[in-house]
Amino acid sequence: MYKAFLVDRSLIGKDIHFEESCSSCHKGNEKGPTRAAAHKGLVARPSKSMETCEKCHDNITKPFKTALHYTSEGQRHGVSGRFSQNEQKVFNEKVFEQSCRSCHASCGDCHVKAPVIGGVNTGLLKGHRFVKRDEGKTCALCHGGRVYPEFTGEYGGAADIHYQKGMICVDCHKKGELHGAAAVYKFRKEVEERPRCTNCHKVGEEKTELAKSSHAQHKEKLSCYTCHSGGAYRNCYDCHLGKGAAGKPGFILGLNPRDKKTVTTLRVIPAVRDTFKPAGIAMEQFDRLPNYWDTTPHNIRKRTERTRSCEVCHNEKKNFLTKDMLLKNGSKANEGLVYAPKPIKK
Amino acid sequence: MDVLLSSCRSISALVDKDSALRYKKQDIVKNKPVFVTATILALFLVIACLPSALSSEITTCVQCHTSDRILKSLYKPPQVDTSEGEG
Repeated sequence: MYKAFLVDRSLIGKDIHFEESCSSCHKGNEKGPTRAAAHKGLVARPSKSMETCEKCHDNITKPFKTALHYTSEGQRHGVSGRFSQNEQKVFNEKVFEQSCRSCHASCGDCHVKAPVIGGVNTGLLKGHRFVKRDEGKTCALCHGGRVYPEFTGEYGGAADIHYQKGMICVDCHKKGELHGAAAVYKFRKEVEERPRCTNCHKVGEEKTELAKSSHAQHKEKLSCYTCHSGGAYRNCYDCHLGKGAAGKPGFILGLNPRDKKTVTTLRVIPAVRDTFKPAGIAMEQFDRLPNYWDTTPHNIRKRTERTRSCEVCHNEKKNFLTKDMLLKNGSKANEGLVYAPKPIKK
Repeated sequence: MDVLLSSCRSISALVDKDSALRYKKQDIVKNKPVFVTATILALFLVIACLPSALSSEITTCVQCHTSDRILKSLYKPPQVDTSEGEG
């Protein structure tokens, strides 16, 4: 693992980032005779505040300061609906910066050195080169609990067809989305630059008449993933301020909590009533938001059991959320997501 | 360093008694300006090159972080917290 901290000596003198000394970004003491002395005052992540990168890349750092990857605002937005005003204040002061936001991505986390996750530090991406992309060492680490292993098939189901066709994260999630834009977004579903299936898969250009008619019949009633998610994805239960979370596979269909006119894939999110109890937050408005959120499982397949037969949904009602399945002591808002499709004649 | 050595060799060849191009005392006197110029040039090269040659060796960042052997000796495996996970 120490090899991950080896700097490629050939970069010195060639790469423009090495024109100045190491300490110009990392501080510390270049002449320190021991490791402790050399690392005194060391700044391990100089791009954390972006002042370092801003000197030359202000066209990127400026919008990135409000990008969701940097602010982690989506995490705050997702839970804030459960707080009273006072609880929100406590959360902002005592929990968000220390816990949630510790994950925010700096420039270096994507372009120089892999982020540290759960104490695991895989080090420099390529000998301290400043790389454009290396999804397997960057996206895969922060998003390795759910999205990435579902995408590659490591979670246990079939891999996403896009992965099998050689596509990887940044092929859909382009830099316009990741680096941020002039607009300030509260959560990822708001982001204008986010990927949409229809960017590449145009409605009306389907190869078969069956696909065309299915899409026309379910237009604005179903999300794409309802039919094209390949199978079970990870659902997270019982998180208590970073501890105790349990992941279980599941495939859940129900009403979209953000748009109750459509059916979509739902994923259990780990917040429970006493998640923030150690911080003195009881979540007085816990029942305002459900425990199931609309999700975009990254395990897309063209053909699934739902595309092969209408009966799977309409008669068997397979995987649809029912009252019996709801979490015990879960939010009362969960009941509003239950949906039973209309039967059709066989 | 190579330039210095080659300069030294050139100068020593001039005074080497066993050299094919042996100089007698009068030849050294005749070629004194060449000898002096060569010495000054060699000294100039050493003074000009020495700081940059030494500076890269002084920086401990580069010394340690470009050496497989040194990093291996300094590395301590971290304690892994298995309770934390991300989406």
